[in-house]
Amino acid sequence: MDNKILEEIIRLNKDKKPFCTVSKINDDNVEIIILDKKELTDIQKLAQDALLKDQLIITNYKNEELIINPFNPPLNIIIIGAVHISQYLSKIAKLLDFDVTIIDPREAFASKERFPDDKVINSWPEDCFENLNIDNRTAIVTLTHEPSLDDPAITYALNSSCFYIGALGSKKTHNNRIERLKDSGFSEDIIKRVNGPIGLPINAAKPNEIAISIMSEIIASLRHHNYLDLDMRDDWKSR
Amino acid sequence: MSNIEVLSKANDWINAGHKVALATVLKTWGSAPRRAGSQLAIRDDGHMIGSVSGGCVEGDVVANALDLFDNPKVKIIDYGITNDTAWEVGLACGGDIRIRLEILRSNG
Repeated sequence: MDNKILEEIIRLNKDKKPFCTVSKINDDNVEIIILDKKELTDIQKLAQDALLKDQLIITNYKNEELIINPFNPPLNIIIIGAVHISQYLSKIAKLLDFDVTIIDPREAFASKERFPDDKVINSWPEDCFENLNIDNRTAIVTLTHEPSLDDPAITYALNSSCFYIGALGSKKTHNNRIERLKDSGFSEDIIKRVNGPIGLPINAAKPNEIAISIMSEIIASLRHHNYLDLDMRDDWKSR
Repeated sequence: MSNIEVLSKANDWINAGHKVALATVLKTWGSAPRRAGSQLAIRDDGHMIGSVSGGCVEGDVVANALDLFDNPKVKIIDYGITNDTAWEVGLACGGDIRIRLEILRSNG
């Protein structure tokens, strides 16, 4: 690989474009593959597969062993509620290479003083969700305890392809939330996508500990493709 | 630390006039701390960023990189419990890993 390719890799990632590098196993020439057309070539299909798995693959193509290394844009986390937990959740998410967006219409919460280094959107979820790029590399977390703020975000999340939805609140709060979601037409199977009570069960007590618990569950969802169907997950959530 | 951070730092080093090698995990068998695709950049003075294992084989990869600067080519290195080198460098995790090492070229 030469530094021209290196600079192109850095530029494409900065522009949040998904792409792969492809090289022969014993040759240091590198080609960059971008999925820019609807009709994909064979190599582009392999690149698409690597990007989807987010995993380097080695494949035999035309009698050559090829290394296909995917570079996905950063994962995203959208946090509803510029609350105390969010201050820690944002820091931890950034450590894990996530892009962070915090939404809260309440100016006292969403202030620059409280979130000096964050992208904070000072509006209602229903007014800004359309403009956010929500895909299968996005996690959505609601932390306000306030149905008028959390519910519209959860509704939007359930209609999206985001990989994780978590909602803060006790079991009782979550059961009430489930009833409201049922009333608005979501089936139980769909509602199961909402992780509530949020987080892995580590008996978190302080806001920073709760943030760790939430982020751990997000990673579990990312790495266990069947996280929602794990017996242990059902066990935790029914405690 | 993402691969992009590793590559960005490698690019900075090249722009500052250093020679830089890049190690990539190609494959793992059994228990290995870093997945395929993980990268480590090595500067010509032995400084490094990123990782290809939990610290078990980095020392040996750096030594290989320093040798390779004089004779740039792609080198595939296997570490594992069946490999003598791995005993020497101590692959404590009990897994096997294949690493590809290359020298990054500077085109000015």
